[in-house]
This record gives sequence, C-alpha cells and structure tokens, in this order.
Amino acid sequence: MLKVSSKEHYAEIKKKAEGSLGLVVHFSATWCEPCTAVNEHLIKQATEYGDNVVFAEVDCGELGDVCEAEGVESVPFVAYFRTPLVGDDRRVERVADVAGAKFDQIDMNTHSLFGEKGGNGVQQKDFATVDDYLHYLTKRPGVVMFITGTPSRPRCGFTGRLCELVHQLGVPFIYYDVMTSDAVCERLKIYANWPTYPQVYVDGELIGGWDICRELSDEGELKSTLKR
Amino acid sequence: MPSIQSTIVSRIQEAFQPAELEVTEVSAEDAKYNVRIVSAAFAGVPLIQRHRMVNDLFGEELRSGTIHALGISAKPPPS
Repeated sequence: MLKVSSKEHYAEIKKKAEGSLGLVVHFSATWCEPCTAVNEHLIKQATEYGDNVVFAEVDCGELGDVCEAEGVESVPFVAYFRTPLVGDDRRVERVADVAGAKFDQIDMNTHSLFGEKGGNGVQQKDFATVDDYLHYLTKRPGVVMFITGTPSRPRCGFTGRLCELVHQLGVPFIYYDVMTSDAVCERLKIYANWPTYPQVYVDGELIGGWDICRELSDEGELKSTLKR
Repeated sequence: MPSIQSTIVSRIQEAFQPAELEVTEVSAEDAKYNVRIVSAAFAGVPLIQRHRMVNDLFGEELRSGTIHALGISAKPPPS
C-alpha cells in the first residue's frame, strides 16, 4: 500500500498503475476511526494482488487538493480505477466507488474488477479463446451479473436499476463490466443466446436480463431465484 | 420500408398468434421498444425461454443495434 505524499506523487502512482490491472485508492483521514479498519482490509488485498493491482492511500487531512480533484467529499472513500485493455491511451479510468466502510462492497468491487485469486490466471489473456474465458466468467458460483458499467457507476438505466434491486434484497453478487472488453461484450451475446445487457447468472445458469428480474421481483420470487 | 414498430408487430403476430399484443416505442431516438404479449404459445414455458423466443425473432436487429433494447412481458392467457 503506497502512501501518497503529494499531488505529483499521486500522478506518478496513476502512471505506475498503467502497467497493472488498475488502481485502488483509499481516501482516509487520521481522525477517521473506520478508516483504520478499511486500510487494514485493503492492505490485505494489496498483499493478495501483489503487482497485479496498485493500492494507495490518500490522507485527506494533508492532501485536500487531491481529494477535491477526485470529487471525494467523505472518508473513508475507496475509488477504483481500471487500466484499459487495449488502445494507445492507457490512462487509468475511474470505474467504481465505495463510500463508507462497507467491506462487502469493497470486496465485491475488487473481486469483480480484477478477478479472484489475486488476479492471477483469471484475466482474459489467460484463456486460449474468448469462449473459454466466458465459460470461466459465467460458471462462477453464486450470482454473477454482466452489466454496462459498475453498480456505483452504471452506464445504462437497466444496469443501475438491476444493481439497486439486488442490493436492496441483500443478495451478494459479483459483476463483470462488459465495457472492459469489446470481444467479451460482443461474443457473450452469442455465447449466451441473449442479445442484451444486463445478463444475470445464478450458479452458472443464465436466468435472464432486467425484464425477467423485474418480473420475478414483482411476483416476489427474485430473492429465492437468486439464492437457490 | 415498414417502421421498426410495425415489423415488431407483424413478426410477433405471425410467430405467436397473440390473444393480446401491445407494442410501445419507448424511445425512437434510442431504439427502445416494449412488447406485452399474451399468447397460448407461452403456456408451460419457463420465463427465460419465453424471452428467448421473443428475442430470437429480432436477433439480427438486436445484434446490429437497430433495436437497442426490447422490454418484454410474455405470458400465457390466464387458465
């Protein structure tokens, strides 16, 4: 876990993250009691992910300008940045946020964005074909949602509504942001025989998209479907 | 060139002979449509398969983005 010492250092860290999967930044303050627990949690994750993901801490009491530049107005606050897979512009992109000491959301985002197993052997490049990767992604146990954007930064109304609905039910899930990879975004529609996003899988089986989840919810069956 | 909405209507009518059919253009700009279908063709069919049956009618349009989003309600008539 890197301790950010200045605005310039922060820019260097972002540059460094261009060579990894992404960057997780914990905005904290010495006077903030929950920040200690969040930091300990993220230090464990930093150890788990090693060189695959850069973890950094910004003390908002000392670096108010960095917090302001990132639009962070409360602590603890965890911001997630992803390094683009392809293209000349490798600048990390802000893709998700967790406001508050919500460890389940921190875990959801870290595991969803960078993979489990510390990010090793679970990236698209680790699979021989796109379909092999899709098999891995879709067959993971529990609830796996293929969405446009992330729960905290959805890029389409359906994704936002779906994530909110599942959150309200208290059902944990992991997600894959299909904007991460054009190849995944296009191929999964064919692989799943489902032409749109979001797509929701439970224990490896596609249960449908937003319409079906809304219908199941209206009939009071969504929670049992997701929990089965 | 028939409108997308009329194409949706005619394909659903041909495929499912619906007892009830309502096709709504939610947004022409965003190519979003809602369909509400009541048809005996859906009797005993799991929810996800019903949606697939409808989606499959518009596979090309959905893949090409001619139809960006298709909201589906597909139910058999009340028994």
